[in-house]
Amino acid sequence: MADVNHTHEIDVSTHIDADVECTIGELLSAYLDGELRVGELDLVVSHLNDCLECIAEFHDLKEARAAVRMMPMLQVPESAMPAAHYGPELSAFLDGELTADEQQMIVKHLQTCTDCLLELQDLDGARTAIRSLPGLEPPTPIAPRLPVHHQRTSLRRLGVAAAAVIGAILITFNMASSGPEPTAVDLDQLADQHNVRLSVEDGVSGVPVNAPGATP
Amino acid sequence: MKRLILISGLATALLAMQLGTATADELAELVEAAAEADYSGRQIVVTFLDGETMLEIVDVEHAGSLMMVGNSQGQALFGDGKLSGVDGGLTVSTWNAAQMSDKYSIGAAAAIRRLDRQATAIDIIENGELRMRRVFDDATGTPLVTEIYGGDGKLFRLTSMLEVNGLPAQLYGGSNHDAGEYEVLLPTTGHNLPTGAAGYFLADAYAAPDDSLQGFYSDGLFSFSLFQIEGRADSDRFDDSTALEFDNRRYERLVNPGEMWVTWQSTGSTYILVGDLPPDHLEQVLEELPKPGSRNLFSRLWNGLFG
Repeated sequence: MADVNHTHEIDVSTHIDADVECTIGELLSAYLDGELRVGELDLVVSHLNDCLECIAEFHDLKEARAAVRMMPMLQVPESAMPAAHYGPELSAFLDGELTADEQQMIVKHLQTCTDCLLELQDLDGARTAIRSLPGLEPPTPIAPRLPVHHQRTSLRRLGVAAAAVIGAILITFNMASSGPEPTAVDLDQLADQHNVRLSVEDGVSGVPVNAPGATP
Repeated sequence: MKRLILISGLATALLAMQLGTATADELAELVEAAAEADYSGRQIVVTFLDGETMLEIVDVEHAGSLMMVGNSQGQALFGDGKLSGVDGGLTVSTWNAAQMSDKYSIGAAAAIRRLDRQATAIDIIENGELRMRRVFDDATGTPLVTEIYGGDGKLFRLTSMLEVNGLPAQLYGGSNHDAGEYEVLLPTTGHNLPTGAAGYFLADAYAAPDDSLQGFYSDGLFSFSLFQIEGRADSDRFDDSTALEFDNRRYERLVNPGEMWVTWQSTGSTYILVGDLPPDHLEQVLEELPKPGSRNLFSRLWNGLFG
């Protein structure tokens, strides 16, 4: 777990603006531990938009952390758990990495702890933002040049030509069979139509919970 | 011997009372009280699915049969077959009531404390396994918690009040449920939607303003709508969906904390299922709905040549 005091001593804006040497590791670690403040979260997310190295580092940290979580643990009774906040556990809670008992413990705690609740909302917001970042795939390497074979037989030329014709036919038929562009559907509208019918049911479980426009 | 039977019967009855076995009527009373309760507060909805956790926290107000739900993106008012937004909304004029399927039974009721309130927890059992646990505030009838379990016994969705703040100020302030223009979902009988699937029954079918068909299915506890749209239909949001495969049948699924969309194409139509089904129910329902078409290369060639 990152040292909270140390993390908060970092001048985030200077760190981000300097942009000379990308050393955002402490902040990423603190993010995973759920120890960043709201302003810091925004800066980290903004920085991650432009820095593939940091995205990679973030994923490495996350994987390492997940590996540590998979190690065998002693079962600690709830009464022996600290009464303080669940910073690191909240992040794991969002990642679905807790056991059922731990999940229940967090949910119970959230019902009495506004601080953890707000932190959970911040973490969830940051997670959503990070999900929308560009992927981590490295740039496609330039393919090595293949050795040129000067001796092309007429048979090979014939094969290439036949393949080209077949390919063209397939593409043509594929385009013809795929039909016109699909109709655009508004998924929120469909959910509204479901919910409006649902609203007359007393007994069913699915009381509408999402305001219009909410996106997954 | 008679005395022995009498004593053993009495003991059984006492044991049942002690365990607090509830009846369907008791659950119905609690649900009815919840539907008429007046309350406001904050509610968290958490869905656990395939190792992911999705959550949303919303402000809710409930008065009579109306419920206002709001978050940072807006507010909506539901109730009595109407959904009201800023300048109008949607409405259904007729519907058929759904009955709870007899596959469910009512389990133990327990007196508990939740949010510093005296409450009653009641379990709904399916095939001997806990499917749902609901907790109601004894004093106001407010539904405090709904836990939904998947077929694997794991918690699938949790809806829980985080705080209960008393009377619904906005609804009491006269939020307008009638202003603006409303699109009407008209009932229709001219459709070929399935009449049921995996214990869910088609309660109503509607023709939407865009000519798509909506079938509303319920088993009295969970529900979904099946939309049938002619030809190909899609949404950019399905770019973020995950593939769902059962026996070589492939679907696209999009999930948020409180809802789920599943789409596929079959026999010239696009289907989109919207609802709150637990994962095992979803799999069983999809098994009995129109299946995704195979559309292999040969059939595409044939269709391309001859239509």
